[in-house]
Amino acid sequence: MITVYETIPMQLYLQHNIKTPIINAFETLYDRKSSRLAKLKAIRDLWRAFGFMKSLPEPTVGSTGHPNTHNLIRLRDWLKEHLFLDGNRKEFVFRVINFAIIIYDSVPPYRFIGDSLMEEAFKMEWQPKDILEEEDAWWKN
Amino acid sequence: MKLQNQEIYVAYKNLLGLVKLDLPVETKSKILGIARVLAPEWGSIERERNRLIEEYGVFNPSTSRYTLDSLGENAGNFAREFGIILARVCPTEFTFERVKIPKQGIPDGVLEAVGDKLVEAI
Repeated sequence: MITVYETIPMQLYLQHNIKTPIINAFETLYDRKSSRLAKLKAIRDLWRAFGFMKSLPEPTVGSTGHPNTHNLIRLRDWLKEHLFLDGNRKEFVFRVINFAIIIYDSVPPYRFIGDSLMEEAFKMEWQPKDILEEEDAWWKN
Repeated sequence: MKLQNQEIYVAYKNLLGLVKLDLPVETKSKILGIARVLAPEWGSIERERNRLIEEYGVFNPSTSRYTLDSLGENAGNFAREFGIILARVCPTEFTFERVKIPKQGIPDGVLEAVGDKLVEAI
């Protein structure tokens, strides 16, 4: 079963409006030979690509295929219940998270990278989180 | 057998392309049989696509057609809504006998586009 993110129009949209502009923009920004004008244009392209993410349907368990994607969606929803950022910051964070989830679900090489990172993380002795001295406005247990 | 709309949408045009190739008459007849069954479903998907292009595109008076700027603001709305349509499972229950087609002489990607639910490359 193909998901909505694997359909032809969505793949074309992801590729031409978001992924390629982001990759090209970072190439320009990290190229020391790029002019300031080129870098400004790259920042504009990044901003536009970020705007294009808004049109992507929010990934849900029903609209994605991979079981690990479903775990990521549950983690996102859990984070939504606990993270309270001001203004547009929360929207920014979750737009990026949703995009990452979509890429994880629909692009096998990125999924491989993500799974490899997770495997390595599980091998490490991860220290427990710090205890908040007092409940902060940005986090609710 | 159930098919997703994208499978129908991609397969139909490629089936019509296969019929134009130098294949045995019996094979062509079977291919046409599948294409005839898929035609109404393909038509309704195509009508949905045209409706979305009219909704999100711009009318060009010189060609009397609607066009959609793939890098424009509405491109995402079109991709999302058409993507949702293509990801749906068609409610029709299809019963096809897979058509055996020799790989030789078939342009690259055509049989893959038709899909192994409908054809079997030999």
